[in-house]
Amino acid sequence: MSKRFFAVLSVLIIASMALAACGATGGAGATLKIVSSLPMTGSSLTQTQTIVNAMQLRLEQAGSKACGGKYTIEYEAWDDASAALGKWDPAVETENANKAAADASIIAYLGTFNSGAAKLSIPILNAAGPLTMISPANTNPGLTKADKDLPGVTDSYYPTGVRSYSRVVAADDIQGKVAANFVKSLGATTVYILDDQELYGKGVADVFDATAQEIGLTVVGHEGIDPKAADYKALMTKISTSNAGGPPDAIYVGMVVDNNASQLLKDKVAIMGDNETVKYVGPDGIQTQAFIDGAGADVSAGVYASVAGVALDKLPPAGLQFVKDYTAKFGDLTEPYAVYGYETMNVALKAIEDVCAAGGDPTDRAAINSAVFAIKNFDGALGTWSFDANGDASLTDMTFYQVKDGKYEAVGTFK
Amino acid sequence: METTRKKFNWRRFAIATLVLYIVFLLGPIVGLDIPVVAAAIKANPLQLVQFLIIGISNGAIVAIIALGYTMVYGIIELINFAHGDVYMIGVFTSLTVLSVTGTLESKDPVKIVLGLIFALIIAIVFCAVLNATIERLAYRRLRNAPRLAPLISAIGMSFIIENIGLMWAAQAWLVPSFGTTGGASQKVFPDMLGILFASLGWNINLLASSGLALRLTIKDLLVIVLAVVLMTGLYLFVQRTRLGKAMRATAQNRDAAKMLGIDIDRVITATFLIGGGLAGAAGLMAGLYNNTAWWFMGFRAGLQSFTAAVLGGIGNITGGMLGGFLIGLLASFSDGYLNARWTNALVFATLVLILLFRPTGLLGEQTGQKA
Amino acid sequence: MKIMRSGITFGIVAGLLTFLFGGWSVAVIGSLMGVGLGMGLGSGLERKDPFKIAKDMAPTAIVAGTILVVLSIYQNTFVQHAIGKQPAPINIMIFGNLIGFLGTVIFTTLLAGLHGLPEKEEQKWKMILLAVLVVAFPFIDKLTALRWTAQIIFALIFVILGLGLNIVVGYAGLLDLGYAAFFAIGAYTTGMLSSPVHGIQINFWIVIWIAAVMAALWGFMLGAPTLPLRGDYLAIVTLGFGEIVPVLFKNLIDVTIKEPFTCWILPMFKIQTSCITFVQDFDLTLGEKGISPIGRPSLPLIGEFQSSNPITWYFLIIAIILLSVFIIRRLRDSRLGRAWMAIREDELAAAQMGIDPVKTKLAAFALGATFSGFAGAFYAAYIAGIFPSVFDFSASIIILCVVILGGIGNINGVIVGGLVLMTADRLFLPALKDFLASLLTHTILPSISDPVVQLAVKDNANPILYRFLLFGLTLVIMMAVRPEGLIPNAQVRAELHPDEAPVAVVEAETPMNNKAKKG
Repeated sequence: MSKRFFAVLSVLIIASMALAACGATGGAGATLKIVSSLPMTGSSLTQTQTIVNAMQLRLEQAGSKACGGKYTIEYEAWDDASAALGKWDPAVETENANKAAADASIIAYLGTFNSGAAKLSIPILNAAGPLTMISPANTNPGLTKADKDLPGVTDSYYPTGVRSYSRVVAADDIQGKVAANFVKSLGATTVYILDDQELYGKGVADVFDATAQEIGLTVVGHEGIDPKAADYKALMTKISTSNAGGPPDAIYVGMVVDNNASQLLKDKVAIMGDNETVKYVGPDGIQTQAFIDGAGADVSAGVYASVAGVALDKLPPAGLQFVKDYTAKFGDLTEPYAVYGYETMNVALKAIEDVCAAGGDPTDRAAINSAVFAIKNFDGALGTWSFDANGDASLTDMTFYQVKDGKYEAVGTFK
Repeated sequence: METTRKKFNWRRFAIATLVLYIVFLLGPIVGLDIPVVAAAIKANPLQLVQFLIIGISNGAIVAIIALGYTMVYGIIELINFAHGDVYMIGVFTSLTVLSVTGTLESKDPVKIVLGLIFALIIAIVFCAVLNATIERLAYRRLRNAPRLAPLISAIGMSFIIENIGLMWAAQAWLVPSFGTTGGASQKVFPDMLGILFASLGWNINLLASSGLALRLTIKDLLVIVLAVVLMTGLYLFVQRTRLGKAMRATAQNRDAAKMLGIDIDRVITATFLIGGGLAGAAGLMAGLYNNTAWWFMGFRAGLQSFTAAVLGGIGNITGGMLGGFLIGLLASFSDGYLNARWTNALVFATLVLILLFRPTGLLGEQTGQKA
Repeated sequence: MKIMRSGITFGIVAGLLTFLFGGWSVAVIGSLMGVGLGMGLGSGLERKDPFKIAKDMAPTAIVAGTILVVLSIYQNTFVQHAIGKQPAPINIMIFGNLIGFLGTVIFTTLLAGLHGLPEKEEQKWKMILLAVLVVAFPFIDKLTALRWTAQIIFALIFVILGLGLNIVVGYAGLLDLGYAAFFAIGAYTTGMLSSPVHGIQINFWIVIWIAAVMAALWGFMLGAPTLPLRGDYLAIVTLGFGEIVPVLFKNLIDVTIKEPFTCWILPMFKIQTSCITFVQDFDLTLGEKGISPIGRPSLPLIGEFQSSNPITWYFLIIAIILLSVFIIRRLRDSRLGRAWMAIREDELAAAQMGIDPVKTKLAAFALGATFSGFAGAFYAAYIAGIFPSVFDFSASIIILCVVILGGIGNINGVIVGGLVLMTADRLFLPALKDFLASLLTHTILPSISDPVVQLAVKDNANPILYRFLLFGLTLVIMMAVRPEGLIPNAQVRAELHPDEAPVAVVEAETPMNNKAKKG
């Protein structure tokens, strides 16, 4: 190694340093950051991708600026799934929440998709400011309202005592109740309930079960399924004779499409015939095109599914405009959660503007959080609604959809 | 001597009573509520036969996949974790062939039958080649490595193939019914046999005219018949042909077989080809039977089939078959009489129990029959 | 020249890594690369004067450092723009690159130079250096705002699990495909005993021991029936347990236990009794609702450990690992440890030599499970929530991969394996995914005019879709390149290369020979 070699090297290094000086620019102006944390993997990706798209769309409509151009708003879509689990991973969600808590420029955390994930991030974000968290999809009632079986647990998610979690979607206690009434209105008197044993599916199925008994439906059976089984023919055979030797009038399934929902329907149709003879009703977890693709248009014909809110074509003007803009930019919109994603971003931006308008500092997380909870009579894409003290939106509409010709079509809105 | 033999064994009786008591005490936790089960059987005894039919049909698919595990294990003592995923590829291959040949849209019975036979052949060939390729790429060079290295390689291969299935399921230009919702969701495998029977004007339930409240569909029959045919063929192949004998020799002692002039590489490749072909056939059968194509379906099927292979005595063809049927029946009865959410746990619990009493599986001792 | 080539390769790989992380990462990556280069290449050199070795290594170190710095600057100047991100500020660039460069050079020469010392001295100094690095890491991470500590903590959880499984698989030679069951038992013991959901809130420092004992007890109980089984029959039974345990935790949500005599048998004979019910619809595990929140450890001075401050957790898990390594080393070198290895090599022969296979195997199961009890307790408290699906078959498989990838039967190997595999899974793959995704949206996609093609490319080129593929490829390639693991057990290496082993001993003095083996 000669001296020349080292001379060349040092020149290289100095040159690179100079280049670095050119490349690096000064920091941008005041920037506010909004992040979302959703599982970008598996079947959920069909839904979460539309949520992210919708959030991006709303931000672009605002020109990524707030408070009359004083602040630039950046949005990052974080993923809370891991390759190892193939779905949301507690460790990743915790880290996302911690990362958000540590980054002072982040003023709103939009998420999560799974209620279990919210249980982990709410306390972390609550202790960090609190950093406001707005979910487009969590439906577990226990996140905001005290659960009578688990006293004190809901409060323990909020260690600072200040509520910092809100959601724009109606909780399962509403969905399950409305669904039971809907099944009764279809003329059914006996119902068999299946669920996928998960937080969401079992939660909504339990509420359905309780309400059904209250309003005089006979619950023939309520069973959890194994979401990875190859088929459910034996189970369906059992159900087909469970109601005094015959099939029940209706089957309610509390589950998400990921958990073998299409297979369950296929075996039901194979054993008990089409969905007119024995009605098949589910929550929003199966109101996705992926469910119909998995079961086939003919098999899924007649299946009912409920989704919080009104049908896409019954949305208020702001919502209709959203559907139009979304379709123009990203293609057909069939997923029900996109508009909720749009609304969360809407809420976040509204809170920032409100803080600015009141002369406050939008980089102050606590101020943003109070502004979110202060939202009343908000004209959003979902209608005119308000947040209550727990962070639940006053949206209790439930729309039922039925599969016709391989697509979900709205059949009516209930309360 | 006579007296001691006839003497009532109190100890055994006490243990049996205790076990029975514990089953009654704790069984209801996992849905094994014997009074309830007994009442259900009494109320509808015919349903027992129905569960039997469903169990055997499901078991047939498990059994055919299990054969691939058991053969590979017999020869190179490797748990080929990728095997279940080869089966999944078999489902997608046959679905794609059916779609490309236009069979899916066809209502012509002749065309459907020809299309199905063609799909069967292609699925068998494709999966056979895929399985042999996996061996060539991932396992061959590890033949003398530590015992667990090929196992990890197999797990890696399994991940890779699952990902290929995930991408495959997103290619709507290949199979239009995949739709636009991405590869992760379940896809429908059209009920070709149902369409075939409808086009012929026959009832898909073969027992419909018997007046019994039973369903034995053409799907059940096809799956069972095909499974028995394949197993018999394989059994004869291993017992009678030269290559089959070479396989048995290699399984018993690889070095000795080598010395006798058997080309080990060729024998192993042949084993993987046969195992893959069986998985391909199982793929089409499962597609027709359960009407689902899903990238993740190979994982659970693989786990169950491997369990079946071990249950029957790994390395033993008849045992693999027996294990498959047993698992199918167990799952069916558990779904039917106990509680569906416990089925998977019960299958494995039974496996553990059987292995405790027969540590080498049900037919594990007949080492001479190793394939 | 061989050394120089390794230096260039290292430099390029490290430089490309900065593409994924940017900012301060160059400093940390440079220092880590220095450690790797120094340890890896240094040990291949002849033991001679430390200063001479350091001098010999210097050019390689400088070249590697330069490549790193050049690539890192290229990243900040051009790549950051290409993926639509703001370049790091100038001060970070200058200091980051400077530290990265100096870190490479200093650590490479220092560690290689240490090789010139007598072996005992060398080991001592290396340990000291390593300790300093381990202690300094979270603080450097905090200063540089890279946020790697949380991922490293997760990797370290798997290191403990790997160490535990290594006892069963590596020492005793019993293939266990359901090890995550014990992880679950440890976590759930902690969850149930320190969460408000059951109203029992025992201090973490006590619960962690209860969790370990529970895991050991279950290891013993599940191990006992498997003893007559051999080889892969054992593997499948453990797999069965691994499948059953998460299902139990998922499904034990309405436990009802009734006394059968009073509730069923006597009424059958028309005898009226009052049915004795022990438990009615008791929600033991909360199923997929998950147990949360879970109590956290606290210490005087530090107070309660906060999730937002990973440093305390980092040192807690380092302490657990140190304790585990200490215990496992003592075990390995004990009578029991030798008995395990004898059983592993030949059970019949070992039994003839007076080793009780039953006791020995049970000890392996129970002791192996103990460590996953520690890991489970730590995991539960750290995440503050447990859900049954975390502990399914894939977790067992990943722990097994950690052990085999690292080097079966070798403590250092398992530690390295856990760090490599889990940082690949938690840090590298997500970063690669983000990088490719933003590269795609900012460079390729806008240049496609046809919207149909654009959508097709966007759908199919989404790196999220290739997660499993990347993970699988990593495993297959690793096994193809180093089937014996990253840091193999000496015995395994000797078995694998029977003809090489004695030669290597004789010719260990010639550096060329050793280098050839490294390559």
